[in-house]
Amino acid sequence: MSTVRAVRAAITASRSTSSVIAFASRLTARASSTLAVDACWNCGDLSPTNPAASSLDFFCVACGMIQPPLVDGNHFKVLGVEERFAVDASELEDAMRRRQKVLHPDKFSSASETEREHSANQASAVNAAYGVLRDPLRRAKYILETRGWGVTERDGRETPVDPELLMEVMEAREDILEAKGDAKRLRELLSEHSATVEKCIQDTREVLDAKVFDGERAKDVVFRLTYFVKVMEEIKDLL
Amino acid sequence: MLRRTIADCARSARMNSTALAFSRAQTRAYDKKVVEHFDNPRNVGSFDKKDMNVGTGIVGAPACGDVMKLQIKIDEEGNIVDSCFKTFGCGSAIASSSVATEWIKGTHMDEAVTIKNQDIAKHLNLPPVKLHCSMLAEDAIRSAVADVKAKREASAQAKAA
Repeated sequence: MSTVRAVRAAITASRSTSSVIAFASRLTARASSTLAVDACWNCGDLSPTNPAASSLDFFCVACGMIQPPLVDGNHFKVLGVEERFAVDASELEDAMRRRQKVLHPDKFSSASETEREHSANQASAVNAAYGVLRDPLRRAKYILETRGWGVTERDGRETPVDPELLMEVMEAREDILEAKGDAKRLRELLSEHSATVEKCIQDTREVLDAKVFDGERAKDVVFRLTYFVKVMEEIKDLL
Repeated sequence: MLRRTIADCARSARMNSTALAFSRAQTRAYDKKVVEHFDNPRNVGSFDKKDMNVGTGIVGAPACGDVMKLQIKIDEEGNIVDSCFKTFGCGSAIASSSVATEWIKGTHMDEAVTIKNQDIAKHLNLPPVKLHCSMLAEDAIRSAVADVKAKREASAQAKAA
C-alpha cells in the first residue's frame, strides 16, 4: 500500500530529529506484524493508527490531522462495530453517523487539499462499509469473504449446489411465473417466501456467529439465503 | 457435424464481433444474439423427469442466484432426440441454455458433453463478467447426460439382479 507514504514519511522523519535507525526498525516491525503502523502524512508520527479503537484514530494522535483510509480496512472496523452477523440496523446507523460527524467533507471545506481528499476518501469508505453491512445478504457474503470462504462465480461448478435446493427454487420461480398478473396470489407467495427468508437469516446468524466457524455449512446457508432473496425480488418486481 | 456447426457459429461470431465492437463499446450491454435468444428462446419447456429416456440437469450459480434446468430425451443408442430448458436468470444465462439445447439436439450424448462453455460464450459474444453463464450451460448438459446414464445403469443392474 504504502511505498509512497513510506517514502514521504521517511523524508519527513529524516527532516525531523527522530533517529533514522528507529524509523528503519519500526518499518521492519511493520512488515512483519499485522498491526497497521502508518506514519502520519503530515507530521511523520509513527503511532499505530487503529480505526477500530475510536473515531479519534482516524486522526493522527500527535498532530490531529485527518489520515487516509487504510487500504484493506475491514468494514466492521471502519464503522467501529463488533464483527458479527447479528448486528442491528440501528447500531449500524448510529455508528455510520458517528463516523460521518467527524469525517464528512463538510467538516473540511476550508482545510487543505490533502485533508479534503482524505476526508472524502474516509467518508466514502464509511459509506461503502455501511452499504454492505446494512443489507443482511451482503453482510453475510462479506463475513464469508473475510473468513476466506467468499462466494465466487466458480461456486456451483467445483462444488455443485445442493440439487434439492435448486429444485425448490425452480418450483418457487415457476409458481411466481404462473402467478404473474394475479396480485392476490403474488402477495400470498410474497408472505410465504418472506417467512423462508426470515428462516434463512436465522440459520445464517446461527452459523456465522457460532463459536466454532464451519465454512462449508456457512456457505450452504448463505447460498440458500441468496436464492430466496432473489425469489423475493422476483415477486416484488411483478407486484 | 456438431463440430462444424460450432466452427461456423464461431466464425460468424468473430465477424459479428468486429462489426459490433464499436456500437457495443458505446451502449450495448448485451450482444444482439443474446437479445435475440432472450426475446425468442428456443426449446423452453419440461419433460417428465421420471421418464427412463429423459436426463435432467439442474445447476445453479449461487453468486447471483440463477438456476438452470436442462433436459434431454434420448433414443436407445443414446442420441439426443429432443432437448428443452427452463432458466431463471439473466439474459446471458437464458441465451446460453437456449443455444445449448439447439446445439445438442440431434447429436449423440457423448458428443454433447464435448461442448465447451467457451464455444457458447464465443457464439453469444459474452463479456468476461458473463462467462459463468455459459459455464452453467456446459455443466447443465453434463449433468443431464450423467443423469440419464445413471438411470440406465440402475435399470440395467435391476434387470440383471
